[in-house]
Amino acid sequence: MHERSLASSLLQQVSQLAHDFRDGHLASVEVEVGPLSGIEPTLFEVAFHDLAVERFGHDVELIMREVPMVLLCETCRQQTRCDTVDFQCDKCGGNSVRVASGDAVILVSVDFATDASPDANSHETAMTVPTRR
Amino acid sequence: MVDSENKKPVLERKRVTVRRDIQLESKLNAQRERERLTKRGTLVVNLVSSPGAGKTSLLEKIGQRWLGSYRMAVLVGDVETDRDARRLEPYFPVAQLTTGGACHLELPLVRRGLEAIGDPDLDFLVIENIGNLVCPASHDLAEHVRVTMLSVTEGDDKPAKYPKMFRTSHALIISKSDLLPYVPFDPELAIQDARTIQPKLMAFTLSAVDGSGIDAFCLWLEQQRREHVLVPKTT
Repeated sequence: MHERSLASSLLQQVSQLAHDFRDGHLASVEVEVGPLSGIEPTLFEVAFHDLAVERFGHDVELIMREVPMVLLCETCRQQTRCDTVDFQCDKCGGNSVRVASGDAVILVSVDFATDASPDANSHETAMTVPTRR
Repeated sequence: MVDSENKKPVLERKRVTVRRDIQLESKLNAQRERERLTKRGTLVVNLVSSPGAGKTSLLEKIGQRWLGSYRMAVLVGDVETDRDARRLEPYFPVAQLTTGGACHLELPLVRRGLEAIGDPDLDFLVIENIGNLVCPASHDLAEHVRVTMLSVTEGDDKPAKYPKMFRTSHALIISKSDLLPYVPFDPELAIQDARTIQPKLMAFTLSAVDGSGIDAFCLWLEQQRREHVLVPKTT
């Protein structure tokens, strides 16, 4: 199950961002996956949550958006969007196409929650998003 | 900002926009390793298939043909045991990469394997991947060419079922062709399906038992080395 390996790679990058963003609590991670990303979304999600708890000591919300695959026809330059794995240009019908997107897992954004209260430091432990280890 | 009665904090969200392939770093590392091996004249071949398709048998046959002609080494990925590595030791320097359960190889394991054999100057480095048509498709091992092997006993519907593997491959080997008279496998259909996914795919039908088709595959490997390594592309 290579989803665990990919989720681990994602969390390593998120961890680096969390390190750089010291004054916030890691709240959510948004990713895009396409038909050729090479992951099973449910398995990826399970692996992500398991590893997030291991790494940060608390769960992190994962927002996973499924996006279509975008093909660029090398013959007629038409762009084709498809939700399934199909390598046919919808204009000329040829299959000499380049996959422009939808073949990777893209880390879109990471949300951090910060306490905007004037006396934030005094009640940090009461925040709904737990403190990072 | 604070409810003075309940002392509840007020949370604000701050978003850091990234928009980056999560495998970008590993892909760049693989590209650097590929360039390093290109400069040394080594063609790297990532050989993938389901378990039991005949990867090791094919490499034994190549070893018999090329013994004394080329400097070739093999990194053998397996979940357990070093049996495949032992079969290949008479022909090549071999490093066994035992993953202990992991379903695919990654670049650090390849580097470890190269170190284990002393990182010698090579003409060909073949990485015999873990038997699996799913997970290895997502990992660049610094190969110049990815070769997917499909045995006739597995069924001719596999290209359509495992599109990412065939999409990312340069060549398809249909193996165990000596069994074609006994199994309902249509090589033309498998090749046609695979080329619907990857039109540039080269196709070879061969048998490690009767030796048919192996010379053609060896010639293709030599041609790939000339194209990728001896005359590196400028793009």
